[in-house]
Amino acid sequence: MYPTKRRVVITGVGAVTPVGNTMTETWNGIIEGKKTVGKVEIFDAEKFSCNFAYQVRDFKLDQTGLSEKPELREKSKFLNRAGEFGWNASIEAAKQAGILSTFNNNPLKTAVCLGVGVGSPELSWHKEVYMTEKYEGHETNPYHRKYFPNTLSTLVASLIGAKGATSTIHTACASSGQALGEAYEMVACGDYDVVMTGGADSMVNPFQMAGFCLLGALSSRVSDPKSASRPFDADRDGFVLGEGACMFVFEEYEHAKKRGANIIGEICGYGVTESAYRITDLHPEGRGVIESMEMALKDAGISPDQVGYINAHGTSTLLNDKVESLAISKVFPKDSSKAKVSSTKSTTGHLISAAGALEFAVAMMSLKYQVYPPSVNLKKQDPGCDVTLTPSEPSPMNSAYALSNSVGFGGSNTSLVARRV
Amino acid sequence: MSKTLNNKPNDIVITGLGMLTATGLGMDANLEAFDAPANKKNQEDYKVKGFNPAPHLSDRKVVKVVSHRDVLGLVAFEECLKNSGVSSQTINPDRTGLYVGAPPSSCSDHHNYEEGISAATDSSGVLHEKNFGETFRTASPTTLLTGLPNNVLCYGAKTLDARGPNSNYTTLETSSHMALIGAIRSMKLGRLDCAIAGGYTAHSDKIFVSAMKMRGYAECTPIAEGAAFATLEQRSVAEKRGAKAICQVLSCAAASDAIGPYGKIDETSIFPELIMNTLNHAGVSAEDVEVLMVTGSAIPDVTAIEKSAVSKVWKNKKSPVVATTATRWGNLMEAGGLAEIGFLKNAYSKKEIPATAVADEWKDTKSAKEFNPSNTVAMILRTSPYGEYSCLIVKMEGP
Repeated sequence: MYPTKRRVVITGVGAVTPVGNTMTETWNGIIEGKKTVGKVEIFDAEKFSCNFAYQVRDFKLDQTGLSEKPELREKSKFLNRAGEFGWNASIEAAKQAGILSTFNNNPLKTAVCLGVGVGSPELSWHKEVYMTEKYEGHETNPYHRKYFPNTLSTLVASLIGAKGATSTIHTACASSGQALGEAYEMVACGDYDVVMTGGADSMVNPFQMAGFCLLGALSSRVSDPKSASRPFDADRDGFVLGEGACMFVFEEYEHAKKRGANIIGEICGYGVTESAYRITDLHPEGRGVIESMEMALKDAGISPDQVGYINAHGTSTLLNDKVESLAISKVFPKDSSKAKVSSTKSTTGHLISAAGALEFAVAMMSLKYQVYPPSVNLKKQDPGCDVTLTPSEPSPMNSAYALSNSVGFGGSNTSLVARRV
Repeated sequence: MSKTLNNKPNDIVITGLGMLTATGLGMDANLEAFDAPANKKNQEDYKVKGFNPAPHLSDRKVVKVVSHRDVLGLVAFEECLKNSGVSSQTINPDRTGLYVGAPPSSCSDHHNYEEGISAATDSSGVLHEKNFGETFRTASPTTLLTGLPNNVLCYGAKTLDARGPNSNYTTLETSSHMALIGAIRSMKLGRLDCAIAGGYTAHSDKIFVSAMKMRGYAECTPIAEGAAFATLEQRSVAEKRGAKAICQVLSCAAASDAIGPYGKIDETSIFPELIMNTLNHAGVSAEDVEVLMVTGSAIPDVTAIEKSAVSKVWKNKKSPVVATTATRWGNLMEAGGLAEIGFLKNAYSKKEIPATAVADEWKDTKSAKEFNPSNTVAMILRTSPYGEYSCLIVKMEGP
């Protein structure tokens, strides 16, 4: 039994995304509506029905911590592409929070909880090694090392000296939203004082792009990729893959205050449900998404009319945007709610397992700067998506609360509430 | 400022178990193995083969769209529901959730693309990546979904109509315990009355076994296929529907030395401290523990760290009987950690710990013959080669 729930504040945030290799660059890129989508450069995707994506560019693995700890440097070789993004974002967050190296007087009260993608071996490796079973001489095979999702979690724990649980969550596109929610509960309930949390993913690879193409989930607007990701637009035709990572340091309020940490935001509500419906489809009436938002609001102890901004999951697929709009309009009726909605996937693409973390960061930053992120690429709002969208340019906001939704294949739904500090 | 939480009592009990391994379906079939000579000779024997899942699944069509490992998980999940008498008719959907320990995706998930890969390869054996952009279309439209690590969570929730809080963890041998910890947290927060927690695994595909050999682990406990789930309920909810508790969950916690791949664990390991903290949370002492179930992977590093932690915690104290189910079930990886409850139930019922459950490496501890079934406190440890640890303490209840 937990007698009281503690306040959970954010003392560090870091990001590596298609719009910037730091949180500041990412936030500025989102506000500017920067369009970084382009042809896939990581592999030859020319003949795919969707051959474009939002990709991380000019990326270099941050060597912080690696030079002092040779064993960490060795292990960092086991990070896959998404893992490297996660590593850099973790260092940025940890530096901002001031918890690198000098921190950790109580390692068992410090934990890591990440939402990490499934990873994938290279096509040539699969053909030459896996299909032929020629393993000898391939001691660094990717299945064994690089594609275990808990590799990143354990290395991040090592980076900050955490010895509490290292939790790795996978619930598809809800993964990092769920990781943030669980990290929040871990601190709020008193199990931990500090938790590094977030998500990392890259599905921009042949196997997984093929998988999404086969499902018909990706936009095929090859003639105009820059406007392909257009959540809530009447002419949307699917999502556009993105990649990246976003990491946070969640900390108990008194703990943060006592050590003089800079508090940049607060997480105060978490909702999580299962739609228990179909693997790829949302329940047509928004079941699960509605309850998730209601649970988060109840947990935060606020009413819907106190929320000023909703960062929607908003994938730009026909079904998601329609059903999510329906769910939002039920919880936040237009006649009584001032909440404006946007999906920043129009600027970042869909970061899959990392999406929830990045979009919560956007919600938090929008409160910090009191700015609504713009609805980029919106030409004509789908009348079936009856929510109040943010304008196409950044606009001033006056609110203390924002909410971020994530919805995953498999039916997991999460909602997180951020409070302005 | 802090908020007062739901002040419900948190007497959480386990009311049912489901299990599927190469040995059989259901707890009884698996427990019989401890009364018989070992009959598995090699890795292949630990694979679940020749098993027809259809009669055991509510939705038989699911077999066509998920992986072999998912099928194992779903069968054990449904077996758990039957064993505990839980169904969509008995639960409150919004206050029931699934917490699952899942294995990572596997290379075998890309099997459907192999025709496309071959078609993109020229006569001299050179793969033209560009051509794969056309040839992959020979794969089934649902190929991506086959490899999702949360399929069991999804289809299980649909089967039970469980719509409450849920999660899906991938932390190797500690996965099932991580699932249990998540479920307990949600129950303590007053969000759930009932949770189904457990894990499933099928690392025995060719690449993983090969990798184990390359690490010099050829002599370790074979990697097994299987799944195990447990039904957790608030005691008041279980009593209301007339369900009997197998055990009470006193405490469960996890920690990590964060060594990651290929790390070495040294004497500064956090593992003993985790065990001590979990004992404190449970309100019991080390000497109160009658049976200690260990991972029993026989991976040298893992056994060494478990032995070191146990020797530190029980130094100069009356030690428990140390047993492992790995001697008969193999290393159940993500599926291990809760199936042991079935083993304990059987041991307490028969007032005997089978000698076949004592691994060679642990024969220097208290003899199984000294087992005192009147002391009902038991501990289950899980250790992963990544330096992740978990500890579950239960109090067994009468047959």
